[in-house]
Amino acid sequence: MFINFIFLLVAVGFLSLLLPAKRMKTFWSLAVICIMGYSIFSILSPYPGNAISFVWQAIPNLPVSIELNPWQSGVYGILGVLILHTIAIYYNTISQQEQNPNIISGLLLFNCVFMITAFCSINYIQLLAAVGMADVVVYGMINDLNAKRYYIYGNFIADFVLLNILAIILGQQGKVDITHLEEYTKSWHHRDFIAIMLLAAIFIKSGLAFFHVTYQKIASLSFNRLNFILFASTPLIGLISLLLLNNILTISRYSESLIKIFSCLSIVWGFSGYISSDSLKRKASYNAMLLWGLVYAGYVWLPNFPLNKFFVLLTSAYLFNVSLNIISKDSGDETYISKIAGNICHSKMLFLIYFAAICLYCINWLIFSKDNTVLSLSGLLLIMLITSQTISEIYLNQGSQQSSISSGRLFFISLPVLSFLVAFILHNDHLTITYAYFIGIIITWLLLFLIFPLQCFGKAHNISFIQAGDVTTAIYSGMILHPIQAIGRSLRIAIDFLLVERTIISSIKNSILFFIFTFKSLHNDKIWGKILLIIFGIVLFAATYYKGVAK
Amino acid sequence: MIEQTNIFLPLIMSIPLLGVLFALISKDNAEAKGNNILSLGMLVTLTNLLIIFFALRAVAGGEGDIQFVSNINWLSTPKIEFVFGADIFSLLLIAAVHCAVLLGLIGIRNNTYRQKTLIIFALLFLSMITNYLLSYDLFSFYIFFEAMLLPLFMLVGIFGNIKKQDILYRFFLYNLLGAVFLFIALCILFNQQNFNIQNIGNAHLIPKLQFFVWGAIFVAFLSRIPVWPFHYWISSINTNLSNPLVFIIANLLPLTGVYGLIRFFPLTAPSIMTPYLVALEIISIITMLVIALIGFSNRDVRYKLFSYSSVYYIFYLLGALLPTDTLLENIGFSLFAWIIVVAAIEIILSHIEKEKQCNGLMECGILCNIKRSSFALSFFILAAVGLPLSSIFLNNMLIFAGLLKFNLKMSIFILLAIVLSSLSLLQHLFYLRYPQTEPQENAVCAQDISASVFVFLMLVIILLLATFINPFWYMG
Repeated sequence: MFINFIFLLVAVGFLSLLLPAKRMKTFWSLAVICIMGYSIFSILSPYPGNAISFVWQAIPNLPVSIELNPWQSGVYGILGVLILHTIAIYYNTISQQEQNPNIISGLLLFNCVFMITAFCSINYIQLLAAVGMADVVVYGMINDLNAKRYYIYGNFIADFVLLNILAIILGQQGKVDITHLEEYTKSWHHRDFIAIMLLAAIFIKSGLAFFHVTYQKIASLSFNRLNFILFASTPLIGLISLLLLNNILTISRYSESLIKIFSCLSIVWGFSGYISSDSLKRKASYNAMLLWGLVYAGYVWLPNFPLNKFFVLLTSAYLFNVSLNIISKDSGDETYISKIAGNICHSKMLFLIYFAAICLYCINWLIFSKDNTVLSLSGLLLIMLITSQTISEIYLNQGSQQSSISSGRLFFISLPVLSFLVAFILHNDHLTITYAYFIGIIITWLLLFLIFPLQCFGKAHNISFIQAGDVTTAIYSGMILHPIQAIGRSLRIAIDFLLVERTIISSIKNSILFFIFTFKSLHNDKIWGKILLIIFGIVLFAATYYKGVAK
Repeated sequence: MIEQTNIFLPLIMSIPLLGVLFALISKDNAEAKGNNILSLGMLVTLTNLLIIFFALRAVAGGEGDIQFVSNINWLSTPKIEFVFGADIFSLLLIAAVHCAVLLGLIGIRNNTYRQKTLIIFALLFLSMITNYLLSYDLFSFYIFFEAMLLPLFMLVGIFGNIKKQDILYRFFLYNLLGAVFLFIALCILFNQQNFNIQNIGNAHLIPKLQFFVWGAIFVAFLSRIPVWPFHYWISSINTNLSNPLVFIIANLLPLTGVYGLIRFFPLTAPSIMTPYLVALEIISIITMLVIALIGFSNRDVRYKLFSYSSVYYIFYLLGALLPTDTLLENIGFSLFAWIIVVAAIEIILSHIEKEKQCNGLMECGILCNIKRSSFALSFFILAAVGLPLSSIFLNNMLIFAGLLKFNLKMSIFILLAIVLSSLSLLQHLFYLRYPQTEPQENAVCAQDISASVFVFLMLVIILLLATFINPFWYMG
């Protein structure tokens, strides 16, 4: 069954790309969702099927095998990837903004296959190829040029760094199997360098603090594409790489500290960015930054990284961002909070959906991080603060009412949130344990909503510098880009122009002109020319005599 | 007297030359607009590609390194014997050169200015470089190494831009240096025996002479590679050529230097040269970094392309200079895709350049209304920077692994140069795609590449993807 749905995903992906843009949009999207449903059903069945394994003769002197094994990294990883992609395909279907949902569905299916391939990687080549291909697919999905540019810059550098780390290990060890990494760590070659570079690649991919420019720039995309990229594509690839290559990190004493520092920075940056942003899309990307910060904090501070719970948390965070989309949709596609102000009585349904998404987010964070109380409670507090702030700003802020929230039909758009809530209630073993927490969360959240403690940050909505949020781009431009360009220009003048053109080539040119002048002079019909010719002959004779006879 | 074991080599070597002869006697009048010659050029290239394809199948399935060895005894006193042979590496390079020239021919399809001359010299160059890549004795190696300069010299002279006199001066100066050095070195070696290149290490020379001979060979090949200070003449040529075919041909010249060094060094070179190889590596890395930095800060797309190709040529050279021959095939597989990618980028950039000049358009954002060109250029640039879209990706990884294994610190500078030159290409792609002002409704738009050219480019894309999936795709 596993092999069936993988091939089905690939085949349907190709078909989606080939279908005409404006034909069978809804039918095809629904068919794709059915196929995703079949895939989820297959992976949930008691025996999901045999592994797919074949020799990929990628390079003659390095035979590589590709293996897709549902048991390799646990069924939960693959299941999580499938669910996230199904949600993305669903929103692609119902979105009216997408001009060509067939192509997006095709790209999502391909991305899904590459994510599963990365997840099941047994060797570096498989991982690298999957990571690179997923990047190309996501690059194709981004329909904003500026966002595309930052995305490819960041991810190209991350891929290149990753490729070279693995090339170092391959060069020294001569093996590509990930299982042999443990052997490599015992020999400790360039341990700090490799670990730090690997972390840099992972941080870029996941968009942690100082590497998050890529994900801030994509805030111009539609909510569907934005949410998909923030949760189900490249950042997830970063975490998958970390989980697969975690043995490399153990060779350096700096690894853990670096993850701790960057995860804390991301949490702080994500939180402050979220509460000070006016745009819902920017809030969505800061929420992702906060979540990935929390997940990486969980990676270092939790005794074991709970993969199955992580995917449930990731889906909840995704659905929380969907609820931000619902707010935007319900207010006529307005994305600025300062322009969305209304009354709670007019949209009780919206409030309930938003509240359901928040409950899922908070509870799943608690379940994910329950082994570390400090992390768990601090994370919970931050999530509650940001989620309550948004809704307080919308419902309690009476400042500048330019449009009001209407209570339109929200059924289709909120279906995944409600379905996930039902599934969570039906299939969660932790529900009885978290029952007390659940009540506490509701009360605290409602209190936070009514008290609105972060009201003062609303003033930041009018400060253009904060709303532009381009500090990191300015830092990169000022500290890296401009100096490199200045060095390049100086080198061009110093080496190409002054040294080569004006010194070497000019000297040779002048020397040749001098020789031409000399020989011309020797051969003219004047007395000093003849004298010069005789002197030249004598010198030649003397030199020959000295070299041939005297010596 | 000719001794040969297979028909492949004589065919591969003679078809471009026959093409030159046919082109010489073809009509080049205003009515024909050169299409006759262009079709001939494409037919010749395609036919040879087909034969190379079968030759590759035969070589890949055969045993031993060098196959199809053909000996041509020319003179008995002095004994001059031409030896030609092929291995996967040389055949891959020949195939790549043919694909690049074919792309160049596609690129000049609407260019009627002296098309006959252009195609004749292009085919002559193709013939010379093919023979050079198949040469296995010193005599023929030298002859074809120098002979390929003649068509290029003529092409630069005819199709170069305003500064062509200065460029030709540099061209002549640097190549004369290389030619003289190689001539003297090979004369000394030839005095010993007309060695096959593989056995060149067996030449018994006194240490001083050995140093001189190998040093001269070293300098001669270096004069073709954009390693400081030789980079300057190559950059002058590349940045002053607007004809895509001539640019592609000029861009193939460093390949001959790299190929020469690969054939002569490092396994056959005596130990006396080892310290100088390290010096070469250091100079090469500094050059890579300098060229990458200059390319990054330069606005001229041709300089960016030159910077990118120079960095990669030096990268392949450094990979080849490693004291191992296991990477040779990887270099071949990577070079195969890389040469095609650079040629494809060049023809799209030339099209954009032409549209810009004809319609008086701004370069910035010119791609936003021409979807086919935009798609094709994006694909080729993404493949060029090393994303998994062609055989460049995995084979470069192995070359990196080799370089990083031998010297991590030096390799980091190589990686930095490669990242910079790749980013500079990406930077230009977005410059072309991103309009600084909103496009106006009645504004003149650039014309896209024709559907037939796009189909051809799609075939090239499929070929590149096939090389990613399996570099031995032609084995069936």
